[in-house]
Amino acid sequence: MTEQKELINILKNAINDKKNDVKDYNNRLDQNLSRKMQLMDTLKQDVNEITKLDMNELNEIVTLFPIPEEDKASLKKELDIIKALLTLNQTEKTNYTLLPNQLEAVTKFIEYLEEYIEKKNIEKQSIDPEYNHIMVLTNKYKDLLSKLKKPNNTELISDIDTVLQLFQENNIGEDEKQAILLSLIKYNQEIIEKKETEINNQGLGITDSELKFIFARYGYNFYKLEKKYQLKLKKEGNRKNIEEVFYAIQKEGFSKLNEESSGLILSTLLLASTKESITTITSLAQKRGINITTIEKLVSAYIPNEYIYDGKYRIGRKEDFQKNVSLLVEHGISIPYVAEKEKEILILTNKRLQENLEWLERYGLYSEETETSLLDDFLSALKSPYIPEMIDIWIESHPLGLRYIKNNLTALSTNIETNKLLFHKLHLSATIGNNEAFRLIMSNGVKKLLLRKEITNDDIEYQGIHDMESAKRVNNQKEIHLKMEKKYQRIAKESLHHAISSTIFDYPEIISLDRFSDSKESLLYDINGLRISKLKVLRIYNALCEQNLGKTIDALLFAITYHKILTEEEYNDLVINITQTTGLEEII
Amino acid sequence: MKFLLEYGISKETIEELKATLEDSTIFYFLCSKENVKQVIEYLKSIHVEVIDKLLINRLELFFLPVDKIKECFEAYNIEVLVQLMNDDINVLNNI
Repeated sequence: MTEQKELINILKNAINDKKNDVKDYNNRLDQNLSRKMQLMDTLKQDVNEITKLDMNELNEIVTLFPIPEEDKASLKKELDIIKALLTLNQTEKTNYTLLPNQLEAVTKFIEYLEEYIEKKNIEKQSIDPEYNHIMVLTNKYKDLLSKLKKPNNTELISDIDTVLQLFQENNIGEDEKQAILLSLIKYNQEIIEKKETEINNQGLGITDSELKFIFARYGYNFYKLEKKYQLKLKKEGNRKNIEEVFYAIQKEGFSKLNEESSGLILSTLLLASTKESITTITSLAQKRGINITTIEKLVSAYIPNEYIYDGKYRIGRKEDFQKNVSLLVEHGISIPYVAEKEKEILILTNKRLQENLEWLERYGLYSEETETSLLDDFLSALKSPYIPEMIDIWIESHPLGLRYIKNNLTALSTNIETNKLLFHKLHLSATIGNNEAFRLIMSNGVKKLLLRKEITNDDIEYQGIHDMESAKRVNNQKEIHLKMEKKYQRIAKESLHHAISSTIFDYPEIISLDRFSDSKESLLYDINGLRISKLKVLRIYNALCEQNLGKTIDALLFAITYHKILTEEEYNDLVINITQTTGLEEII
Repeated sequence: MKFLLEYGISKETIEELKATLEDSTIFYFLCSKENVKQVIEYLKSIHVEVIDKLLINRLELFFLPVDKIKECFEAYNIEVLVQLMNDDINVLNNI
């Protein structure tokens, strides 16, 4: 409609006007911030603009950044060198190109400056009503514009106050106002009509009496369900699907569900599963020796992966269930055993299950099935999102760490953050050179390791360790900082989900580390007494190399020292050792 | 998962569960709410102090029929078993 196009034009102009208002505001109240924004914009466009800037100004800006003093000094020095080099290029026609670390310095400067400007703007907004008003109105105009421009918008235009404000600010005439408002009424009517048509086409929505009738036909009482599930069924239920699902669960021999205590299961089955998914999964389960009553409440198995519950929860795992059964069979794991001991493994995402099985294989950690045991620690560990990281930290913390996790694979289910104190205590126990952190029990004639409460309980002091501050002090932990550690950290996290490429084993620096292989334990390097997980080093260094960040001493040191507690002396010795062994150099 | 608060489970434990578990596992947990409550009540009755840790590390315990857990635990000296569990929940790997 032409009136809507007119409204869109008015909104675009109003938003531009607001941008100018913000500029004026900044100039009036904070010329320095405006100057900083200008400086940032020019440097983003062309790094050579640095030659026109005053070093005192740049240094003053760096002083404002929330980074340690030594980093500020280092950044100022780099910027000075960069300015000098680029100035020479202009005045003496030299051809110096900036090195990666110099480009990194400029990027960092711009990032810190951007964060500083953003922070100052937010501070202003919180205390200055005028600025706040400009921003609030701008956002309202932007919301309105985005709805009008969206081709299949399904949200009603209900913010009439903002439309009236727009008219007032832009001196829109009466006739034009009336025409635009009428067009908005029609616009909203069209949206409502579209929604009603969609509901009718999907067959969603079903009456009380229809539901009561269908439920009763299959021996259920609709009114015994909790109100919220009754409402959900009425709003989202599809008559045909509900009948088909009831028929399918009866045919496949599902136990009758209690409407009061199992309302969530029943309503979700009726809304999200289909007769096809119920038939497919029960057929697969039976083929694999699973009794249907064992998995009848594993609702996610009957729901397609793409289903989203309440608009946000991906609870469907039908396709994953099918793949997981195949995957477990490939790995020689009994499906009926899994269904009995830990059926929720079957509804993990196939990706997590596959990754975890592969990691446990790489580390050689498997545990036997025990029919008579209450639980199975191997199956339990398969749920963990932390497997390789946790294995690494356990085997590095104490000589008995590997044996402990072999006896208790469930130890891999927690995360490092919530167990920092535990690992500090273990590290100390190893440093002291005793095994008093552990106790032995006999289980079926086999000695198994457990931990003592002084280690597992953060509230109990152990050898002077009672909190993180004391832990770092007692262990003399060095805080290691490397130039690109933020990037390294991100890549290290991502490496948990990637296989180790075979090419890494041909790298000379990795081959040279073989001299540190632990003679007693193939999973470890022993670098002058430091226990380092080999797979940790390979995994992280491989990931860094794939991002073109390898082949430097920093990258290898990061991979080696990741999550490792070290003293300053140990770190310095490590740097010398690794530099001499590998011949790698620092990033320059 | 808010019903866990009534049983003295900490907010941090609930946040940890939400961060670690997949949506499908949390959904299964909610579908098994009644069983979970029974298991928590049993564990409290025998003075297990590490229910939070058990939820994070050994969620599957709470899906087992409580009678099965009782039968298994009562094969041992309950007091000693609970003491060992309170020190290190991984003692459950041996029963």
